[in-house]
Amino acid sequence: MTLPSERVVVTGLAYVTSLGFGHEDHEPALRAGRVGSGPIRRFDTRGFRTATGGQCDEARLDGLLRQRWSGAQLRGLDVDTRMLLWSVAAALDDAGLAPESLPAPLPAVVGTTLEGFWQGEKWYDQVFHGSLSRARPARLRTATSGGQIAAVSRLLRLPMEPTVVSNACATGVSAIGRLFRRIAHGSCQAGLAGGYDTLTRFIHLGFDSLGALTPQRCAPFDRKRSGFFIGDGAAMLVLESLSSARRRGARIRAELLGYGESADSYHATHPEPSGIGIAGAILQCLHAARIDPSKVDYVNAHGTATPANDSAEANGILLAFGPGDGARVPVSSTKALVGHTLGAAGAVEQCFCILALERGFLPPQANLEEPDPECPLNLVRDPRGAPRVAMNNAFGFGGANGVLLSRRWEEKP
Amino acid sequence: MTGVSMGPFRSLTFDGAPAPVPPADLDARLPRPNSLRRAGEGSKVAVLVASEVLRAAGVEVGARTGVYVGQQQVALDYCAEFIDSSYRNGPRLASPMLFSESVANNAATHLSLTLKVTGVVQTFIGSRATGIQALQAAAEDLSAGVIDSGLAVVLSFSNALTSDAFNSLFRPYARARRPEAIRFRNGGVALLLRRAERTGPAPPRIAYAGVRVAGPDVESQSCALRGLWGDYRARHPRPASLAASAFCLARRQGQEVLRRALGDEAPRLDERPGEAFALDPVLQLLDGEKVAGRAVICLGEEGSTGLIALETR
Repeated sequence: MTLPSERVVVTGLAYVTSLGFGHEDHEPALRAGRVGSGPIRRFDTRGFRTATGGQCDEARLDGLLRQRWSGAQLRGLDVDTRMLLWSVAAALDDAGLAPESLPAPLPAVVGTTLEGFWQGEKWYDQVFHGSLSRARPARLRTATSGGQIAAVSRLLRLPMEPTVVSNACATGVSAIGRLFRRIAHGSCQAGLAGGYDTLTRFIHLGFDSLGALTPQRCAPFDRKRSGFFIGDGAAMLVLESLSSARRRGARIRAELLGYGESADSYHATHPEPSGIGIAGAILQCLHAARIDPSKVDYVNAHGTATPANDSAEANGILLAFGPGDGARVPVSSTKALVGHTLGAAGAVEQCFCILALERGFLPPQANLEEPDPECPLNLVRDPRGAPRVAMNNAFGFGGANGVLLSRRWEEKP
Repeated sequence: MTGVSMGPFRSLTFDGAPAPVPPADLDARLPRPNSLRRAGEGSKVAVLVASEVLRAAGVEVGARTGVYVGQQQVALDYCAEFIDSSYRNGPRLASPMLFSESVANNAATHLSLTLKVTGVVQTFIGSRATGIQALQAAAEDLSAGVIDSGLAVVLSFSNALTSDAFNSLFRPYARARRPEAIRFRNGGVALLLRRAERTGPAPPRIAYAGVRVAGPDVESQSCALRGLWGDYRARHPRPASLAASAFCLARRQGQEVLRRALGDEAPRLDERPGEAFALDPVLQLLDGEKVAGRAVICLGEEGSTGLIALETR
């Protein structure tokens, strides 16, 4: 790999989950282990094995959007597009970047696994239960991610260079990693990266059919773990070269140190059990960051709480870090609280890593009663800690593995 | 980006209305043992064209090979079947096999599994420009030294469901009341990209690739295209050959976008019947592989605007 020419920093971020909006809502929830799931209200769950999900506060989301746009402007936008719109706008605000002040189209690497399926399935439902002639075609206006990002661009009056990544549940990390590399190698100076997805009938049905959704609590790395719940999520980060951030006097939230990615090439839905593919992505990330495993202070695990995923991830961490550092490094999965936010997960969890770095705490492993001896990790029980370097893991269908490493920003301006 | 050369390519396309029919011998042409019997047509075509390209290039796949899939319409058959089955038989009888085949990175998964790719495997979705984005990403990772060779696979797979959706959504089509008016060309194309020094004499090189979005209206799209064209022309001389394609039901708007953005330089839009979404601009690019300096413009119905250019030395 050619040496990066630029250091990459995060100068803005915004995220929404079923626990709320941004650091202020999430810090107390993560510290206290408050779970953001409840009975699904969005669609009929009769006949499903599970009926629990994590829905964002749509009324509050609409209230935030209405401070900036009229009801007419927002009409027809589905929940995913509204979450994406809010997170893009709020991340730019957080970075102190006004769309009209940007000299050129802003690179935006956005991840989603479902794109506009919210709209697509409603249209399909109308077709199935009624007829094609009675289905409302307006449903399909933002049924592709291209249409969704175009809607955001139009409403913000912000020309963009869009790339939409869909790498299953590693999508959010893949999106951030792609922009990280572009900036690190000098292809661009700044951009937006992140992910978004919503709880829909289709995706709930899919994971329900796989038996991956839990009828109980989501308990990653617990001996009795039985899966996860699906949650709404959107997270966008403004990444910038350090020189660009310094030039405009931006507030730096954290430094991105490295990105690693690999493919298991093992199975369409199951992870490779020894964790060798996961270890490959972790080692690639550490190598890119030129960081020794002993310097990593916290790992936000993918931790879906399915039996196969958690043990493969534990094996991968131990393989990459070695038995000493692998058993030492504090690990937790915040999916216990916000659920699996799919294409947003890697980006939401990157925001959680930055939250932990900025506010000086370790997100405890919620819902952990009896740690699984098959996952011999140092699971976080006590939030006290002041991590300097945090790792963010994300893995998905098809054996897609992505890992990001970030560091607390300590340099004096 | 000019250091990135295009190696061999393979394509397979088929068309029809409303559901294009794949070649009957598709399964027979797949590598043995065939682990794709229950996979969707998109995945099968992806593996077929990718295997042929790798064989032609004599490239060994490994951790330093990247796979970049660009697609707009794939796996819809399985989505529809999965949802259908849940309504007809109840959610508890929905097949997890159908679900795993309906996810967006399904073709990339099958490529990774069949070709034993353990490095970068990424999927780009959402617009007619995703083929350009797949090529762009492969070129970026080659330039950054992340990979030694990049396999870009561009797919388009529409079906009766897509046809119905476009029928409902686009007024010109609905007004025409001719269900056969929209013909889909389905298929896939695979191209191998390498750093220039690793390839033979005078292969075509990717000179420029960019995608922008500002909104789906004529003014926003022509503004985005002016930006791309200006960016490209600032680095390269005028291409010897310039081609363009727009979503088949928005050709009148597309021609106006081209006229406003490029004035006298505006090319005539591709008049080939039918729509192949992300595949269209890449097929146009390959049409001109032997032309010195080829540029292709792609206009998407959702406002995406792409430009990709080759140079031949």
